[in-house]
Amino acid sequence: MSWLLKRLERTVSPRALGVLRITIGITAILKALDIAPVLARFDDAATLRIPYFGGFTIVDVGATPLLAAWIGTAVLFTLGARTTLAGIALSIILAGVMLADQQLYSNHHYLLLLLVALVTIGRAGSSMSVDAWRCGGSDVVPGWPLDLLRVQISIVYGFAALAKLNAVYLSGSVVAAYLRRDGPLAIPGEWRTFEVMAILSVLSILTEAFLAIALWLPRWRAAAFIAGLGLHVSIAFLFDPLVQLLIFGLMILPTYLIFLDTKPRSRAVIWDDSCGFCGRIIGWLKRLDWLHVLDPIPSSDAATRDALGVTQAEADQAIQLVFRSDGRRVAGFAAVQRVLQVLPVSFLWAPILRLPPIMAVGDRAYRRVAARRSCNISLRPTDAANAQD
Amino acid sequence: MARTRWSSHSILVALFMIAFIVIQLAMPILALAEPRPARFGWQMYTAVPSLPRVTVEDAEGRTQWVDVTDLVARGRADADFSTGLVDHLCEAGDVVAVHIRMDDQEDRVPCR
Repeated sequence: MSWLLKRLERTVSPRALGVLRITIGITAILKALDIAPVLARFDDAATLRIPYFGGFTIVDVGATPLLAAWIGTAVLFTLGARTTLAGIALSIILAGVMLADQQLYSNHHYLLLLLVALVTIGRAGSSMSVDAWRCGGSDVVPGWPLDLLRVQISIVYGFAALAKLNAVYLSGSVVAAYLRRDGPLAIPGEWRTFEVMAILSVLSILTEAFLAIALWLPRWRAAAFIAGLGLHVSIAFLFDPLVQLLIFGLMILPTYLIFLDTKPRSRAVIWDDSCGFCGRIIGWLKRLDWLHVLDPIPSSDAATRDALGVTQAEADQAIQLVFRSDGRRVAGFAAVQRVLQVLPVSFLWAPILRLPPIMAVGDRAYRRVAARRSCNISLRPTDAANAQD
Repeated sequence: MARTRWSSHSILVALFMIAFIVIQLAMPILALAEPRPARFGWQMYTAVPSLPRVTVEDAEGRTQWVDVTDLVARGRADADFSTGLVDHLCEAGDVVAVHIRMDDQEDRVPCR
């Protein structure tokens, strides 16, 4: 029980939640634009209504004011302005629309509602927000809402896989029906054979089942990121409807970020500060390190470098990444790859760089650049200042 | 020494978490027993959406086909169109019954 209590009272950095709030807010805006024509149809008295309950529903206020309220609260939520209030209002609007009529339910909409609600409960305005800028924000937020978000993502994938375990789906007929028929990505008719469609069906089930479990396992997490990215990109471009599936991908893929270990300054990056190119790269990494996971240390800081067990010669030879939790160290291209794996802009695809052929090419390219770095590229004063601040 | 006493806040959080997880597990488990796709079951792309084919019958027994896509806001496979469609079409004064054909089954539903 003390383990459970510790877990409940655990606090975490609010930055991953801040990134998530922004992506979910943008998704909510896109979702509003996507559903606008459907809501507009409810303004027409001739449109069929299938309400769950009798009486007044939120669509009775009219599509225009409803969408204005939806987009307005979603913009405030994205910016993190009055985040809690905006999150509650947005949750109420999303729930109201979803429960107004059976035709307005969709799994994507329901997931968006749950994500907005959980991120709001998690105090998502504590970081990377107007609220934090105005009121100072907070260094920590409760960890349990993130636990619920993780559980929710697993539930979505797990049940998406379980629900497909039936003869109709396994026959491939459902996949065949959804595959794009027009445009450059249309699947030719001769490929829509039983064998191909059945294999695609089984693959989709295995991928979703894998995601439900592997996101929790550090050993398999990188593979899960690649599998998830592959799944959502491929269904968006191969299935219809493109826009809804792109919005769904944009909603669910950033949630993988909360499965990462993003403890602030948990990874020391020792870099050669006598090299202009390195300074520029480190400057970019710092700008993209929205979660503040990296701790760049110039190699001329001998005391810190020595404390991390890195010699001047090693630092001169290649960039060094030291994991502060257990002292593990990687260098060169492998260090660059590990750094990319914790940046919100690259964490999903960076594991691809670990594949043996790519790693070999990357290693050679890194050594080539490292050997030539100080002779032909000069350090810009602004980059150096950014890198060391 | 680490604190191991449960505060009222911790108990509330624990109860909320348990309730959330139980509900989020129970709904899709129950949905597995229903025809695909069922709402709240995360059953995305588990079935091909199809709208019922509908004809209306007037007092003299004449039938007329109705294009359902003109009537619905969105053709969801998990929406129960049959009940709503009958009420909606029966509102037109001269309709006495609605014929709904879904998959291989056809039903004649008289207007009330």
